[in-house]
Amino acid sequence: MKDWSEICKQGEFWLTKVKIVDPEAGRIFEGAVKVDGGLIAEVREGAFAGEGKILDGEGLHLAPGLIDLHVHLREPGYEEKETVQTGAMSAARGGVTTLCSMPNTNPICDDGSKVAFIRARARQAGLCRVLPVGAITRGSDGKQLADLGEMHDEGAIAFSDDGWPVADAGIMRRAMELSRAWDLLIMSHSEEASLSRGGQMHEGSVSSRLGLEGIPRESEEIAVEREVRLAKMTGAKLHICHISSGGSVDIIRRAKAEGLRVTGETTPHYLLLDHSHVSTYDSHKKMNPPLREKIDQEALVQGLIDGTLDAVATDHAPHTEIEKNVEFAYAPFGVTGLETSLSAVITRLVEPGLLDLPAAVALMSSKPAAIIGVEQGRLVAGAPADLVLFDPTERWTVRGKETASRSDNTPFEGMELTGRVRATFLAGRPVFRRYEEDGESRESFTPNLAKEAAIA
Amino acid sequence: MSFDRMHLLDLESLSREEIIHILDTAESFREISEREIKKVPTLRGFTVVNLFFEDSTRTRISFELAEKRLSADVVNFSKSTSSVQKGESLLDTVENLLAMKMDIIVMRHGASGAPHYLAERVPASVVNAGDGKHEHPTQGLLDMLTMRHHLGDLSGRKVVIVGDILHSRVARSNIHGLTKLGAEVVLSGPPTFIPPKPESLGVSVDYDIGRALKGAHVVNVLRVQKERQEGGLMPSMRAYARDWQVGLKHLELLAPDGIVMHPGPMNRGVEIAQEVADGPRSVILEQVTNGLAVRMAVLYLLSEARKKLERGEIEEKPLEKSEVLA
Repeated sequence: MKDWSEICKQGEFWLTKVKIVDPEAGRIFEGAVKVDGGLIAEVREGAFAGEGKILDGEGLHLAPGLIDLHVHLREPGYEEKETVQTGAMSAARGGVTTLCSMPNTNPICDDGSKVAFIRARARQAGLCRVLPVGAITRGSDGKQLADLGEMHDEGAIAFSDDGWPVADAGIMRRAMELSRAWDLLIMSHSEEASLSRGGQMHEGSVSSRLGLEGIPRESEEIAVEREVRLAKMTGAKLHICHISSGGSVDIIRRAKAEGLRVTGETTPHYLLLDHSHVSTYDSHKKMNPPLREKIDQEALVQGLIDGTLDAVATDHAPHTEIEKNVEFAYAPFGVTGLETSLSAVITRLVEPGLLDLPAAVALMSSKPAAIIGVEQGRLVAGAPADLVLFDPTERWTVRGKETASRSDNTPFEGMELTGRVRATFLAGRPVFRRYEEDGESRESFTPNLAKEAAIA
Repeated sequence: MSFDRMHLLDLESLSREEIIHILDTAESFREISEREIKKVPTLRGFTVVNLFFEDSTRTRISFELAEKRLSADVVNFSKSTSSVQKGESLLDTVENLLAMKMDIIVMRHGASGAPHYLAERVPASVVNAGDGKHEHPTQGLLDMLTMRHHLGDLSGRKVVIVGDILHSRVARSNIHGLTKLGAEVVLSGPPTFIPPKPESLGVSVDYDIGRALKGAHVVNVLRVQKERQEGGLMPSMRAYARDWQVGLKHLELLAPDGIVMHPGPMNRGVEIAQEVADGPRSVILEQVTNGLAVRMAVLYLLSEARKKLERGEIEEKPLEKSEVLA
């Protein structure tokens, strides 16, 4: 087994015999990619043996490294659930090379020093670019605006009180107005809490049977509608997080038709699962917003197909087994997702022919890149050499215990998914590999600590 | 018909035949409590723990008496005397008890699904004595046993459940059991007390109690809890009583053999008028008597299933799993 890291160390190499998935051009072609100094130096189409140092791609597919707009890294404060290090390992294992970390840590990421701390931690890990999302209000208390400008200076990519929706419409209005000064992105966890309070799962036939308090769709839809109107009023750039309800898709469709700068994401679990999966009181199916109905699933898929929804993000929310292995009502909301997102999207959207592979990859690379305005997510000369090498046909069974995350609360436990990551490159270095040796599957992580990589 | 289950978690997952089998078995246990020596050796050698994480008087006493009349060894555990308040998890609590070799756990718990959680993780049999707002299967069974005594076959019979259906585990067990036996189930109460998508439960809803009760064979009146009123679902207890209290004027709407039931404890003058609770149509105390017989039957059937499992005559079936994407 040749060591790819050694080959890549000089900074210049060819990755040959790959099927290049170009999400922007919307096509797949055989070819080779030249990497130099952490950037893509050349993309060459057609059969090519390569010159100089060569990595043999063995006919696997190569796409831009994935961009996940919604991840909870838990550090500082909840290191027992996840750290920047373990979260970055989980990302690398899932082919994710850029992620946005949500601010609901302890303390809340609500000033410049906390943004800088997370970025420093990510550089130490060297496995994934981490773009912190700053809080909208101090301590995410929904009352007083946080210093958005200072956090922006330190590298915050967007602003959100994720986990604690901004209840006061007046505060949200002022946040959106202030964001115009630097044209910052506001990410909204849209939830009208007076309708969802005490809720444990989607309000519907299954909650009726299980005797669990419901969270109606309207708690999300009313909040999405509010945010859209405030975005129109203020001209702010708005991104709606983790959309679960079909009604929210309609609201965003109308907002886009009006020409507003509104984007939206949904998650793999809303695409693959629905409220019937809660019927054994499995706390690994508990998240907020909750799994909804088949008709919502279909509306979400349609929204991704017609471009109403712009991205698939995971809302990766690790919790320890101690916290999750309790009575349903006492378990915290949230499921992991970094290591299953590409496979879940291939299984749900590509395999049944709803989207072709480049379009599906675009939802996790070029499109989220456009939302946050970064240069990653593209497979063209000059772009950062963040790449994911994968087999879109390999079938595998999800086992939480095999995760690189510190927590194993996957909602897909035991499910067979199609498509699997074989290697992840960050700034021109292979940071994760899965390979066969002596007939056994092995994995290795190699952080990219090169200064010139300047990750994060 | 044989009953091969290791647990009684809910009525929703039982078949019509299993329900009838439990009710038939309960009939034979009714007689034991009429004897001079009200005791049989059926559960000798079995240890049963009554694990009550919520206050309960009648259900706990009913279970305890059923266990003792079957000669089981009985241990009682309630939240106020346990280490639960110190933050021990449910699983740790139960595993500690099981280290002392318990065979059957009778559990009441405030969280819906807690008995299912436990049944998947421990080797003992679990009997649900009421979980959150989910089910109270032995109450559902004793209600049906009582109805059968007065009405015979329940198929085609109209049963009206009145009150806070949304938060009622009794209502859910009644609904699942009665619909399986072919009864027509109608829910009545303020719209804020009706669960979402009631039609998915196989029942109909009529907010007008007078219309709902017309020709009914059973009116099962649920307890209205004061804290629910304060939760904003109803303006006041008085407001509830004005439009949904079952009073004397309602009795004449019932079928000639119609009966009035209540799972207790009653708020006289709120959900049920004094004259109705104590009137000739009331079978409320019979329900209590039947509760004992039903619980004896359930414990007996589970103990028999455990013996069969030990002898290798049956295999333990996994609990029903949610359908997983193919």
